[in-house]
Amino acid sequence: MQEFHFPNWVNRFVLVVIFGGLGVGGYLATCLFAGIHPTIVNVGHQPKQPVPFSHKLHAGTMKLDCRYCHNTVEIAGHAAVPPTATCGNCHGGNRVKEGATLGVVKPDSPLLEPVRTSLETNTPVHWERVHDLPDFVYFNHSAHINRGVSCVSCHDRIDTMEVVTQMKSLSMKFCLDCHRNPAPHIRDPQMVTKLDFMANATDEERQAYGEEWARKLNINPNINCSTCHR
Amino acid sequence: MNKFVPNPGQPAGPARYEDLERMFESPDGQRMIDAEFHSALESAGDGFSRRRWLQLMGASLALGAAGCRHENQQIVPHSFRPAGRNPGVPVTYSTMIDFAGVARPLRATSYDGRPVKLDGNRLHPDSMGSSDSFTQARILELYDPDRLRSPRRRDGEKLVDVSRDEALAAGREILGQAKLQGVAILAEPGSSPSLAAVRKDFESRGGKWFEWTSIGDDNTRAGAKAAFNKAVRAQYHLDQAAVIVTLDADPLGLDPAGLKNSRKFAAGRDVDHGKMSRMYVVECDYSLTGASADHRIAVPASKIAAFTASLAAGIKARTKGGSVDKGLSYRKRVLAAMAQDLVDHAGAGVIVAGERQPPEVHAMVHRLNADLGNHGKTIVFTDLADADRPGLLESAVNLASALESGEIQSLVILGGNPVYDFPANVDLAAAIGGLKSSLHLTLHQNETSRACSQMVDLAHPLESWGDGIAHDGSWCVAQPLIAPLFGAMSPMETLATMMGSQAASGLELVRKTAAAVITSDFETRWNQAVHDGFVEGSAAASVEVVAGATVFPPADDSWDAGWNSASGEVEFVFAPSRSIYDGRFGNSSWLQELPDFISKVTWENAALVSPKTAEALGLKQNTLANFDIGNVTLRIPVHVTPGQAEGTVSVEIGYGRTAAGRVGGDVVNGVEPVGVNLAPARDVANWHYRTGVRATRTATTHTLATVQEIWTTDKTGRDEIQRRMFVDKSNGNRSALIREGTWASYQDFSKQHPAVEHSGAGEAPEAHSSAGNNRGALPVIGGIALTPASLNGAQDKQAADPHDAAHHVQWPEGFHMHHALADLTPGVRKLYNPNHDNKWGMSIDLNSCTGCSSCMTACQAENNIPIVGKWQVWRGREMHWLRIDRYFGENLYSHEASEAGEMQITHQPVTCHHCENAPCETVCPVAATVHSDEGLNDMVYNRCIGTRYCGNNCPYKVRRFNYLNYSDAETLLKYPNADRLSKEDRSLQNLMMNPEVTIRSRGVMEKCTYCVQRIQNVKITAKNQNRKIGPNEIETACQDACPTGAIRFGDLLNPASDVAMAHANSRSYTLLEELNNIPRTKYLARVRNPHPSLVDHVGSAVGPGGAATAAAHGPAA
Repeated sequence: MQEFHFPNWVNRFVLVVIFGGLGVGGYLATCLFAGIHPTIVNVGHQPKQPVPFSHKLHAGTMKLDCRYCHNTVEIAGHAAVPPTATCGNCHGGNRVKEGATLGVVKPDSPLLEPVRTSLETNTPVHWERVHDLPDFVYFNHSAHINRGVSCVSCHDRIDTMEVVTQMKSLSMKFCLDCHRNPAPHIRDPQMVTKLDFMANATDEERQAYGEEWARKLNINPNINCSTCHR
Repeated sequence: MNKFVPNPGQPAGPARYEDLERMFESPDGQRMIDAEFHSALESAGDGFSRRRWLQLMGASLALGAAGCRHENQQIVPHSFRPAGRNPGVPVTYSTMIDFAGVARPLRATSYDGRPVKLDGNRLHPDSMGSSDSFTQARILELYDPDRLRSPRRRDGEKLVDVSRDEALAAGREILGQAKLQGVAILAEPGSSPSLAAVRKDFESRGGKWFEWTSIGDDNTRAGAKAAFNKAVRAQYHLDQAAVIVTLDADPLGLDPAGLKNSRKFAAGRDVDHGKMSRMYVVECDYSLTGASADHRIAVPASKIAAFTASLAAGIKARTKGGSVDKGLSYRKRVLAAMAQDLVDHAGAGVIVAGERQPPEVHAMVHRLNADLGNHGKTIVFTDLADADRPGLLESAVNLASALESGEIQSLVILGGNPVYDFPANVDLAAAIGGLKSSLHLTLHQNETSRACSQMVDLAHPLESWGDGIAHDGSWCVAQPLIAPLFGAMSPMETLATMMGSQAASGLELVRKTAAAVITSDFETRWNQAVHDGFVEGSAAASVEVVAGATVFPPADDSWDAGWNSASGEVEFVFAPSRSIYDGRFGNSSWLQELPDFISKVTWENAALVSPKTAEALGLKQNTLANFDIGNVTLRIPVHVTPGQAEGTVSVEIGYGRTAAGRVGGDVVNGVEPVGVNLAPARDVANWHYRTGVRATRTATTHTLATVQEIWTTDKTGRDEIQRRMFVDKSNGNRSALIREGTWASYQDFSKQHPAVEHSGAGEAPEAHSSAGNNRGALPVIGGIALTPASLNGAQDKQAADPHDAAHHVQWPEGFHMHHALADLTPGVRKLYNPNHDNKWGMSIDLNSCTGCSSCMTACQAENNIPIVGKWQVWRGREMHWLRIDRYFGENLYSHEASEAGEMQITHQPVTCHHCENAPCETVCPVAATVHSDEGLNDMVYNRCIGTRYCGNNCPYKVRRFNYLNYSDAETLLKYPNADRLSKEDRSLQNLMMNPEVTIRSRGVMEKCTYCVQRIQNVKITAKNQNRKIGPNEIETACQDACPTGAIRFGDLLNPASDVAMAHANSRSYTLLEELNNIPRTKYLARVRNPHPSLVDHVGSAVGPGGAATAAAHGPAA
């Protein structure tokens, strides 16, 4: 019986199969790598909130300071989402407290219904979390805010966002980039909540300014594992 | 001059044995070795084979890529945030828990409204911030899924849940009547004045109140009554005592004032400030006190009375400045030295008798203390609020007869577990069964609840208002840290509600009684009391007592008569458990897994028996033995323990619970009891010990889950361990694991090298003195700095640091290498960055450590350390980040003592040493363990792939590998119906976790981090406030809990810090120094203070020039 031989023309395809296989494997690996990369997975996360609170309106147009609502940011690890009572200061729906009418702004807006319900029934509003770090990362807001790192460095221009969106990857590389070269993110601690501060400065200007403040504040960030992981 | 001179006359030092296997060469050693190396045991027993693991891993890999992004989390803020509450910022509150009849003033840490940690109240003198294991484990009890969650009623054989209203109505039927004829309450003795007020109301209406708990103070009270005509509480000022003698007592351990006594004891042995007491301990089995003694002799419990009589005769016969006849036998010489020391230091001595001893012994001791003039100086007395209450055993007998006579038809049991621990003569369960109604108010459904017709759940002390009287008599207040998890009420609320017509408020009850203490300016001072946890200045004033005449039995030497081994009968001692107390903590997995401080046995009780007695009786380690106690035969595993009195057997009570819960045993639900229940063998006449118990061996083996012997490798390894245990003088530069010397030699050394006090102030002007830290600062040996001869020109890192330079002057006992070792890998690894701000270090003072193990439980609570269960402990997989090694050794100063079988014992807490030259880091293939600039050996759980190379390369064996996802509650509880643990129950346990520490998963190495979360939090606070970290501002969890202040932590670069001074102390040494790991944890050598007449050679205590400086100095006050 005659042995089977592949015809010669098959040889042309050997390289195609080898490189094609590698290519497909590489392609799939790249897809997987890119697909789970923090910039792909995290950036652009924009969940729908129970109340369509506009940071653009409140922080941008009306220039409310970030700390009016996120008031624990200077003393605690968490920049706490405010209690409904804070919303109620303006949007309490004509609540009367100690003789004064509170919260007369848009008292009947249907969009603010969850806020009014929360105030009446003393039940919390369930907000969707936008910026989320893994549980094994211990990030402390106060340590950054008090040392001249602005909100904008991680949260971007919240004051221009109608709906809050995650703009930075918040990956470990993102953290380390800044811990290794903090200057572009350091500013006068008085200015940390001024999100448009030096927005139009060139990189060189920003670096020089940051270096000056880093010197003043003795900024010398750690890049040890135990700085963030406990 | 300072070079260590080997003593040519001595062979290589007496032997110290790391473990009992080595000591008795039992074949079990090999079995443990098998366990360690998994020979043929890989998949036996734990139901989770490696193959199954691989299958699961394969499956999860396939799922891995899917579902990456964000489980959508929600943020749920308060609708109205309480003032002062900042999410994520822990707050501490003062509170208290009533335990062992006295209030324990506590400091509770609450994280976002849930308590996560308990420590001692720093403001209160009873604890000064320290705590014990029981206190630490109360957190676990609060979140125990086995807690009774609703009232229940017996319906035939079944128990059915009933509503709270229904239960209260049922209670009112019993307690609500105007005349409480035939109604009795059986309660645990407590200190709460508010509960006492409820009791008064109850008794005024004709009800009968009985008290019971199995670990009481009957003998102590009766003894005081016999001596002074009234029961008073003795307060020992051990810090002012030069000589301490304890007779079968444990003032440093399970005594209600154990923490305070330990603290004062350590203060009285502050060798660096010239203070050193001498302690003699006479006892039957090892107590914490006995392990800390300078001289200890083992005498059976039944012969302590005879010993006391001999001591009294000895004291009477001696005059100040007398000498001790060296011709006496060793044990008699100890008695003579003891008597002489007490006479020499009249007015500065303390004699303590233990609760196990009958009132006559207490009366004799009171008389002796009075005669020696110790009363009013080292011992003061305070009044007891309930001085005239009957003894607990008497109360139990009274209740039994009242039940029998039918005088009582309804019984309400308030807490406790009398059905489990009542004297065996009384069948309480049957008596309860014959009653019209019986009601148990309880936290857990236990043996007693099962016997009653109804049970009502109680709120945990952390969920309710309460009050109590601390040991020093001060009035303490408990505030709730969390609303009752299951809606229950506190004991006094429940009782008051049932006795009245409407719901009583605990707060109102407590405030009402508080008004008696706070007489003026109530609101302000009440708020202050709630803030502080106690009313300041309310401590009891000392009372004058006059000891009456006491009859001393004629002194003879019967206490020293040997045991008649031919009889085959032993004295059986019922010892309170140092792990689970009287069984009430039986369902606490932390405490069940906490190794006993002497036997290192976990998860059960064992019969402790001395080597000689074991040999005579044919008892073998890890076999079961039968003990015929009255008409009961108990089968108990044997653990051979040196230091146990000949002819005695000690076994811990509190085990063998049949209705404790998923951890401690729940027979109805198929969970085997843990250990052996001794209660059936304990009757009123033989409550503490019983003589004439026949012990017979059986052939059944029963391997105890011990934590120390498991690490034994093989004979070579054991020999090496033993060689390192002790300074091998014949070999010059050999390092030792345990270092110690005599007080006399240390004094001589200190005279030659006068200490320079680093006061802190002035030295470091920037030093921020942290409030609340009053631990003594150590002096630094100054003025001399030897130039270290460095090998092959390697730069000496230590010389750059002035404090490190100082400790080249070493106390010879704390013998130090006199040259820097070669760094074999210079420049390869990043060592500590000397330009960094902080350099963290720890020091552990072996002179203060009593081995009490509260640091272990504190570490467990702080760092979310899981328990692993008995089977895993047996395989050496326990997870404790901090362990305490216990070393038995022959007496270093007296051959005769060794011949008489009197061991010396040393405890050594071991945790990650954070070596600057860490061997674990070099072998990690994935850089999961790396060094930080501040010198921390960081462990990165996410990088760890579980090769365990680091654990193998760690010379201290402090790394723990998480084999089976122990943190998961399902694995954690490991009981037959674990799958029945609902999701809610699991979340309940999660509430207990410290959110500051990552919860580790399977397949990951973990170890002590020096409490890096505490370091980081203090650092962040300091930076936010733009200041430097104070010298002693950071406290690790173990340091926080330590009752003797043996552990110090801080910044080595700050000369004002306690730890920098400790590292510079002449007693400091590092473990396995010859490995050149440069550990950041240093030990301070132990100092013993033997009586000169009891020293026949000075072990390692060779003074400069080789002359043995015999201990010719008395104890210094």
